[in-house]
Amino acid sequence: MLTAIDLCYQIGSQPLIKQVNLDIQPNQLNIIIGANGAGKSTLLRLLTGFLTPTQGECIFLGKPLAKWDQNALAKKRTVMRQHCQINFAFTAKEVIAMGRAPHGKTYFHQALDTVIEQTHCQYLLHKDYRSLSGGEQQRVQLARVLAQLWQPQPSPRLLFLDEPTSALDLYHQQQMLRLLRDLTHQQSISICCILHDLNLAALYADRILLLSNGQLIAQGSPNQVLTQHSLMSWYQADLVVRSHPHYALPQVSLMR
Amino acid sequence: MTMRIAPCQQRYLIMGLLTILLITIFIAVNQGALPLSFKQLLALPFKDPMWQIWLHIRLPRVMLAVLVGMALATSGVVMQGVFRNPLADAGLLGISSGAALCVGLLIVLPITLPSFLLVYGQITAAFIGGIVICLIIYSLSHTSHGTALLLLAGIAINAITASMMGILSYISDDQQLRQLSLWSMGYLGKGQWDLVLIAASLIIPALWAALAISHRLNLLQLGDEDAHYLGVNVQRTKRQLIIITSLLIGTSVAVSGVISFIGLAVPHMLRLKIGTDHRWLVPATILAGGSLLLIADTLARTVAAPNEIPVGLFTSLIGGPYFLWLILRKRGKHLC
Repeated sequence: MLTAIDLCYQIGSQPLIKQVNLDIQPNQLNIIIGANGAGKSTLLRLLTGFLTPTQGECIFLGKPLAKWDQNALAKKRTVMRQHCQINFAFTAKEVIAMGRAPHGKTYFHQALDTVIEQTHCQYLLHKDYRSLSGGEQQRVQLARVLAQLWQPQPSPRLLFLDEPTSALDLYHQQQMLRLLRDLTHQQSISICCILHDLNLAALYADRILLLSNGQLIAQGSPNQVLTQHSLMSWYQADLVVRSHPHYALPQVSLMR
Repeated sequence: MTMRIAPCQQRYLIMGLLTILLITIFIAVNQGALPLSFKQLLALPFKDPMWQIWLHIRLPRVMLAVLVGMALATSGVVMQGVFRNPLADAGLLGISSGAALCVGLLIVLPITLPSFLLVYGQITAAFIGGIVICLIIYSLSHTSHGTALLLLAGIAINAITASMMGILSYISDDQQLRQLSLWSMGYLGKGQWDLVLIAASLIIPALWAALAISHRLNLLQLGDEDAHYLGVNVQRTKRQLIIITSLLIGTSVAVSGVISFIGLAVPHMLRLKIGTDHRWLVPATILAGGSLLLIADTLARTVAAPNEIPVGLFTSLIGGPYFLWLILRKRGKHLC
C-alpha cells in the first residue's frame, strides 16, 4: 500500500532519517515506537509527503507520493497530529466538517453522522473548540480526519496518527485504539500511528516498528519486537517484559 | 458565546446586513451640507444644478465610502485569517502606513506623472508599500507564532514610517504639506466618478477573489501542516491572500488615505455574532464594512456642516474607545 524505499532526510549536514525501508500492508495497524528524538515525527512527515526526502521515495498505491494530486491524495491519506491549535471561535462541528473539504458536498451529512457517532463527539458539537479539554480536542480531531477519509464503500486508505492518545484518559484510550483496530479490520483503512505507551502498542498493534536515532531497528509483531533485551538497549531504561495475564502479548513494567 | 446566532440563521444575517447597507446608502445620499431629499429632487428638472450636485458630488462620494469600507474590512478579515491572529490589522501592523509612505513619496518627491496616470501611480505606490510590509510581517510570523512579536514588529514599522513621513512633511512645500496632512488623516472628499471607477476596478475583483478563497481560509486555521493534509496548497493560498489584502489596502490608502479600525472592528464584531466560518464571515464583513464607513463618512460631513471632519480621525475617535471597551470586557477570556 505504502512503500518507503531508502528514505533519507537531513537538515544541513545532520541526518535525521537514515536509509529507512518499510512497507505498510493493507488492513494493518502499524505502530511506530522509539525514544525521544528518535525521528518518529520526521519519519511520519516523510511518509505522509509533507516533507520531501533528500534521498529515496515513497510509493503510495503504485504511484510516487510526489506525483499525486494534492486533493486526490487528501481523499485517501490523512494525518492526525499531536496538537492542533485554533485561535478563533469554531464549534467542534465546524472543525469536524473541515475534514470533508477535499470531497466538496458529496456524502457530507452521512460522513459526519458516522464519524461523530464513532468518536462519541455528539455532546461536543456546538461547543467552542478552544474551550474543550485536551482529550476532547483529540477526539474532535480524530473525527475530523475520519470524516476526511470516509467513503461509502471500503477502499484502500491510509491514516497516520501522531500520539493520538497523549491527552486521553484510560477509557478513551481504550475506545480510540479499539476504534482504530476496527477501522483497519472492517473498513480497509491502514493505520500508521506513533505511540509512546508500549503497553498500548503491544495490545493493539498488528506490527510494531522500532525507530532509534533515525534508523529502523526492528519491525514485526509485538512479541518479536518488544523483547526485554532490545527495549533495555534502545530505550536505556531499567524494565522487565512479561506476558499479559489474558493474552499472549508482552507488557512492559518499569523498575524502580 | 451566548450572543452567537444559530448556524441556520447565518443567511438571514447576511440578508439583514445587505438591507442595512441599502438603507444606509439611501439615507446617506440625501444628507450633507446641502440637504437633498428625493421628493425635492424628483420635482426638479434633470438639468437643475441640484441634480448635478447629487449626481456628481454626492453619489460618487457615497459609492467611494462604501467601496473603501468594504475593502478595509475585508483586508482585516483576510489578514487575521492568514496570520491566525485576531489582532492582525493593516493599521496595527504598519501595512497602511507603509502604503501611505509610498504615496507620500510620490506626492512630495519631484516625480511628474501625467494626471490620468496619477491615481494609478498612487495606487501602484501604495500597493508596493503595502505588499513589502506584508511580506516583512509575514516572514516574521513564520519564524514564531507569538502575537507579541507581530505587534512589536508593527510598532517598529509604524515608528519608522511615521518618522519618514515627518521627514517628508519637513521637506515639502506648503501645498504639498496640506495635501499630505489631509490625505494622511483619511479623506473621502476627492470622490469623483473617475476615481470611484478606478477604485472599483481594483476593489471589486479583489473582494470577489476573497469570497472565492474564503473556504480555504477556514482550513488554514488548522495550521499550515493540517491544511496541507487537507489538500490545500498552503504557500500558494497564502501568497494569493497577501496579494488580495495588499491590493485592497493599497487601493484604499491611495484613494482615501489612512482610515483605521474598520479592518479590526468589523470582523471582530461579526465573529461574535456568526462565528469564524469564513464562508459567512467574509460576505458579512464586506457588507458591514461598507455600511460602517458610509455611516462614519456621512456623520463626518454632517456633524459639523458645512465643515468636514476627516473620516479617518472620526473612525479612530469612535473605534479606539470601542476597541478598548471590548478588550476590558473580555479580559482573561478569548478575544474573539
